Amino acid sequence: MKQLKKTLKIPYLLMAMLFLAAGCADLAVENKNSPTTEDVLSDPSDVESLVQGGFVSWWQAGTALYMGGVRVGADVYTSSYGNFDMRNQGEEPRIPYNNSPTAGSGSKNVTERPWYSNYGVLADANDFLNVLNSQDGFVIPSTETGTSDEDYTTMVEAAAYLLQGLTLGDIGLYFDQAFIFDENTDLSSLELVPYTDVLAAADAKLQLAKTTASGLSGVTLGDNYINGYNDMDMATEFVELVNSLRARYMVLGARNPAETDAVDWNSVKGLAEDGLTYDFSPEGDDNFWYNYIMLFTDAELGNWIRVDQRIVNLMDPSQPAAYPEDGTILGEASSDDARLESDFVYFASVPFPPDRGLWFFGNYSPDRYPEMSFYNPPGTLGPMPHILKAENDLMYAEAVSRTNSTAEYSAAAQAINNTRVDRGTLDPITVADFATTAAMDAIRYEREIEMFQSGFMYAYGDRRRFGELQSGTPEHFPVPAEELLLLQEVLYTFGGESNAGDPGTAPKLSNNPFDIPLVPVDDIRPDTKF
Amino acid sequence: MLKKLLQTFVLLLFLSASALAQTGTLEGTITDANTGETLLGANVFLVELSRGAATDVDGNYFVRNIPVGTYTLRSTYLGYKEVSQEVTIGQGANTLDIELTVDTFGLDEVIVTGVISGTPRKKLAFTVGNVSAEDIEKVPTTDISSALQGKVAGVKVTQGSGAPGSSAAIRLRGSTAIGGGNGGDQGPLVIVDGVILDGSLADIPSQSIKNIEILKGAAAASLYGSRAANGVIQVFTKRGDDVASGKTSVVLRNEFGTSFLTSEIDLAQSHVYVSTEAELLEAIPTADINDYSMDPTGSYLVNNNGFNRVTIADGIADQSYGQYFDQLDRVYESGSSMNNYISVSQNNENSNFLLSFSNVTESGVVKLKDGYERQNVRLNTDVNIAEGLDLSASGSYSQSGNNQISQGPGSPFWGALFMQPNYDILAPNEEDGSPYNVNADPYAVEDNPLYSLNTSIFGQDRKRFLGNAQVRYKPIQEVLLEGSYSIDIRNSQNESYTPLGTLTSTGFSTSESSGSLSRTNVDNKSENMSLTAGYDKHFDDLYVRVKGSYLYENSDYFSWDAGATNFAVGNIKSWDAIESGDNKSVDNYNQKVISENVFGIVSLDYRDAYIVDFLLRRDGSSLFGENERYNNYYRVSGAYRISEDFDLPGIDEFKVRASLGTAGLRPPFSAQYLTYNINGGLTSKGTLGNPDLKPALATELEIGTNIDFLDRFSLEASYSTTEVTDQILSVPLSAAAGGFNSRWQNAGTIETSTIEATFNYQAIQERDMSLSFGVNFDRTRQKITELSVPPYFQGPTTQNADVFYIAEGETYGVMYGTKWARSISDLSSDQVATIGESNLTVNNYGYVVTDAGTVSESPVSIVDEDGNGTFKIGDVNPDFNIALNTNFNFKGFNIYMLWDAKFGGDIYNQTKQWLYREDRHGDSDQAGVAAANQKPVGYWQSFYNTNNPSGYFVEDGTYIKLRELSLSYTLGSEQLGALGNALQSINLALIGRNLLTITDYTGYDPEVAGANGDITNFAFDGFGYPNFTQLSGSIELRF
Repeated sequence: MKQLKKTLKIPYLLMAMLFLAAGCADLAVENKNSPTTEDVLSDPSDVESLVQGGFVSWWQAGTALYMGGVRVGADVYTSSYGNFDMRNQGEEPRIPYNNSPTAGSGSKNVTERPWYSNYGVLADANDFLNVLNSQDGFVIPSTETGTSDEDYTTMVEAAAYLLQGLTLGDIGLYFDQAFIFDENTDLSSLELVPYTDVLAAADAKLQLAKTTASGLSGVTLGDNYINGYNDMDMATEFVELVNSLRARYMVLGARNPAETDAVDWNSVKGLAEDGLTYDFSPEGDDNFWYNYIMLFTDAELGNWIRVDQRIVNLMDPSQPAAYPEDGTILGEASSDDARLESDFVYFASVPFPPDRGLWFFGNYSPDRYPEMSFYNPPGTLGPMPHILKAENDLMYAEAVSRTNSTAEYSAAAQAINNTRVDRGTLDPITVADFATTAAMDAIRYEREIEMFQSGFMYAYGDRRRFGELQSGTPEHFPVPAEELLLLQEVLYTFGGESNAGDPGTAPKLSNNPFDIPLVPVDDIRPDTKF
Repeated sequence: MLKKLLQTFVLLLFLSASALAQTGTLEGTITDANTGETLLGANVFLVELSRGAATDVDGNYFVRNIPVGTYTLRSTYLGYKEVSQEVTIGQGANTLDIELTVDTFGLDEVIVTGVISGTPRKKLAFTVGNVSAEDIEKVPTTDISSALQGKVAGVKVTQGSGAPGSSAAIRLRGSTAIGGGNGGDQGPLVIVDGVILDGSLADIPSQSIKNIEILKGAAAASLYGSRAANGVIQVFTKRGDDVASGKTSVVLRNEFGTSFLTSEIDLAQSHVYVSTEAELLEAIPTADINDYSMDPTGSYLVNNNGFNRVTIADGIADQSYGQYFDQLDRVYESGSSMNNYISVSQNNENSNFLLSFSNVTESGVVKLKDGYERQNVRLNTDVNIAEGLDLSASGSYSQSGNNQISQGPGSPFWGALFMQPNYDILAPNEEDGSPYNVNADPYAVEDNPLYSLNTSIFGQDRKRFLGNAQVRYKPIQEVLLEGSYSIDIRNSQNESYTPLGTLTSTGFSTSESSGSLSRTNVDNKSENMSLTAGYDKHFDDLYVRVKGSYLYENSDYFSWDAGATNFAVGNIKSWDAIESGDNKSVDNYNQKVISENVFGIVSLDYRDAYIVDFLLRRDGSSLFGENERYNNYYRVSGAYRISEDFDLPGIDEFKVRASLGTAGLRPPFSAQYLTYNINGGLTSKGTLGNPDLKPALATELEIGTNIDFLDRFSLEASYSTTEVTDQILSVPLSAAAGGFNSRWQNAGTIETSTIEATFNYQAIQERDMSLSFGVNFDRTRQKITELSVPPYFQGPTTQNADVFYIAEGETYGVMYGTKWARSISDLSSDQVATIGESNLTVNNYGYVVTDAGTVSESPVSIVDEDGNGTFKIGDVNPDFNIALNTNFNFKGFNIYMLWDAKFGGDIYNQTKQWLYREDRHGDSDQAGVAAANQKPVGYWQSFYNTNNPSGYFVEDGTYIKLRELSLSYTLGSEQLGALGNALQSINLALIGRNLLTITDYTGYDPEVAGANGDITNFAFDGFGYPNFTQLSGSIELRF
């Protein structure tokens, strides 16, 4: 046994040596595929790219394909395909938005995409402002001739406040509650607050953007911020944009007619008066600045998403407002409004499976922006409207009407006629029309036709604030299930015929503006109730 | 620095040599103890010298230059029990004849994987599966993975696709990885001749395999540390030492086969559209027949304005088409396969080599594509440099080309099922006269599959070198020093090309594509170096073995891809032909992994009856977070061979054993890093880094027994339970987390248990006749016991394929989705109230429907009282798997069969689901259905459920397959007459693969898997390349 013990020592020794050998190798390996935080923030131009990239990400978050489902739910588009949650959102009678971990990815995108993308951008803007505030004498070298580094840096600061306002504003338009945070917030103790607070926070950031930019006379927005607006003058055009955005969030933020009445229309009027004198329509570059929802509704594609029959009926009242259920394929419409011809195109065939409900049918596709093209050559080019000057004009006209500012009726009529007559070749609205509902009807008509394909929540916002969402349509969306689970909060949702009239879900329509016969819920489509 | 030291050490081992001394020779004959036949290629081995020889054709062996003295002589022959005896060598000639007896159940088979050093099977303290060349050669497969199918209990091999050149996925026992961001990889660590493979198994031909050893879980595989939680498969290729000493052997084998699809999918032969004026007016009373005309195939009326068809009033699809074509028959055709193999091996006294070449082609069964071809060359050599000093080297090079076909929605496999039977898909395009009218069926959601098969190119070329060199040095009898270096170099190139002018259709209109060309190049190099010191000694009844080892791993991966769209010039497959402008894009990716590992192992064997071993391993890897760079693993195992202590009547061997061990799973490369995404020079936040990220830790306990009795029966049974903690999952982060979307964390636990048994019965064992049966059985259960991530769905990454639900407390592999009511009591009171009870009926298919018997008849999906509409609809886990192999020999005749069965285990049939939407599935076809039972198309379409998970399409995946069959006849040299002088034998064989499948499953084949992700768990049928049947004949000549 002694020999055994002795010999056993040799291998023990060997093993001990081997174990000591471990730890010799250098196991630190760099990930060459991604920069580090130090790399990202190493020089001022990288810090600037947080804001530049932020605009692209904000844009993509608001124009992604989930918008298809949202606009089908607002009866602006129609499509019965299951993609982008379109069939679910368009189901009649309406079903609740599926806010659960078991929902399909199309449904999840409806809330997750705007939620996480906008907050990601907000975090980038905050990161920029943190660097700016924490480093004494931090300046970004100017890339604009004639602009000092200091002015250039102030320009970026104003753009960062604009991003904060845009992201919080879009979240406030969309969700019932959300987080508010900025560069000064302690993220460890955040709580969800109602949308009204979120919109107020967005407005405060937009005001900050405006005051920061106001002093930048002669300075333009830098390159690679918003495609097509490299030469946007900060003290004038930028400020106009901010004014219109503030008015837009006030107007579209209302969830129902009562809240619409409660909007501070005097402020809206003032902001619109100082608002956009140009169309704010970023240019597609087919690379970063694209607009998938415009691409997929494009007439050249034609078979994914169509224009809701409700819109066709607005232009040609001889056509029904809801697609007939007897299997008839509708013929081409005719209208006094020239835009039926210029902005839309008719297809004789309908691509949707009839068994899913003929109410999903539609024969028209939008065709106002021909550079947005799925084929020949494929590309998302040309202007992509976010807020047209027309939207600002119409907000002004609506504010004048609602505040009974008689002295401005003439200007308001002109604001409506800018597009109603010039593009639509319709009879002009006169001062007298403000005494009846005619002026307001014309405003609402222009908002539907002229603003078609405009930016984030334009149509949904209108449909809910006028109380015209179909019974059981969500008035806004819940915090995504994934976030609620992470926060260990109870899951909840909005929408569904049986919840109609509950908070956050559109009630049954009291008036019926499009003469759609109201039928008992159970008889609409008993065969595909779910 | 360390790398250099290692290299120097390996070199030193090489150069060492020792002097020769006073010698004698040893010779003799080795025979079968029962039959007296001489054995060719049996080995004798002088343990102390670690030198030996093999017998020649006459069974004679001869060893020269043996220093005078006493030695242990070990005699071995594949399939025979090992014999060790003492032999004294005097100066000059010495003679010793040896008799060996058949080792019916492989008790003396020496296992080397996962153990300290070569250990006979009977002394193992855990299960090690073994597949020998004999098991593989009867029905050779194109790659290793499918060679394991049905051959070892607890080994799940999923050949989810028939695509030529695709390799099957392997899972050993239960799942170890919950699919996170990367889908859950259950694949074992694979080692070929010492080379740790990185990537596919598809490059190794099965004919070159000598045997495969399989460690099924952590209790056996702890020796391989942080890469081994999924188990280990070690492949040994044939070497020159199988040939008799001083002889040369040549094997030439050629196999030619034909492949064809034996199953079909039931497709509709009727449609649902009006074809007469009366039918039109019944459907649309206001219609005018003048607005309609008959479609060119004479099948239905179409509207002159827009070509819309009109659904018949009753919605019943029982209308005949004007003409019929069998579209599947025009897309699939029988293909051919060829497999050529030649090997030359020679065994000389101090060296041997084997050189082999193989060539494989497999066209597959799809028209217009020529499939897969591969060439492989291998050289293995062993050299005895000096006494106690040996060198072994292995190298193989393979190249393959694969003309692939895309799979899944949108692929030709989907298009083939959607073409209605009335359209001629062989007709040319009216636009440009090119073959296969792209919109042959203008109503189908997809283009003519033949058009894309004919125009688009989707190819892959692979090149691979595997090399290993090993030096073994025994300075003294008890000590063995080993140095080893291995390398795996891989290059693959993928190309995807759509020519300028390729047509795409939207219904009746077509447009021309401006074309695209993209190429991806991947280079991967993995190196391993190891140094091992071992010590063996017998102390009376105690046999002690100790070993320590250091292993260094280095792997580099680099890929780039380039793509471009918009050709300016046609027919030139070059980026030079691309239009100028922003039409080209390039990207690259690289990663490096460095690891170092050490282990120590002690094995004690007392009186051949009590066996214990202890193992400790420490792994360091650059893949672990910087605060967790080193992780430890252990194993404790023991066996007690009861039959050594007690003489049990009829029992030849009775052993009980237990083993407890740990092993790991390494995180993916980028998981630990904080990442930003860069796109066009702009950065955005990606994942939040995690310096505390650890490898997942598997702890397995295996207990089992082996009983061999009556010299005819053998049973191996094991129960194993595994807990894998620290699952590596991408955890989503709150929107308030500062902009990072997710972080890789150790965030879950999966627990699995497996019962497995292998039973063998040697019914007849006579000189000229033998008959044997083997049964492999296993049953696995798997459950997620902890999950610190919100529950989520996963699946193969095709559209709407996330059917598999991951939640704490839930079985791994369950499907959740819409469930259809079978009884009114399934519905919530709210549902019943909304629909109205009077409108609810259970129809003749057993589904609750509304509007029974009308055109609006529709099934009702269940929504519970809480408003929840998602329920468990299926579970992929089978009740059990069982395989039966049988082998019958009579003189030169041999019959071999492998039956393989799976009982239970659901499949999600999305292929069928999509067909329901388009009224293309045979179920929607109501022709010949009794009027009372006919259902309108809307009824069938409702189950489609917008392609969301629908319980209706969950099917039982039970099957019984005759997986392999071979009938062969061997002519030995005595039967060959004059030819026998040159030829040793000729073997002629008829071989069948997947000959027969018995199943109720309605898709092509119940053996399906999603195209990617967790293949062994995703039983998902989604327009893949169907598995097919193969029949072939082979001739093998041995010289």
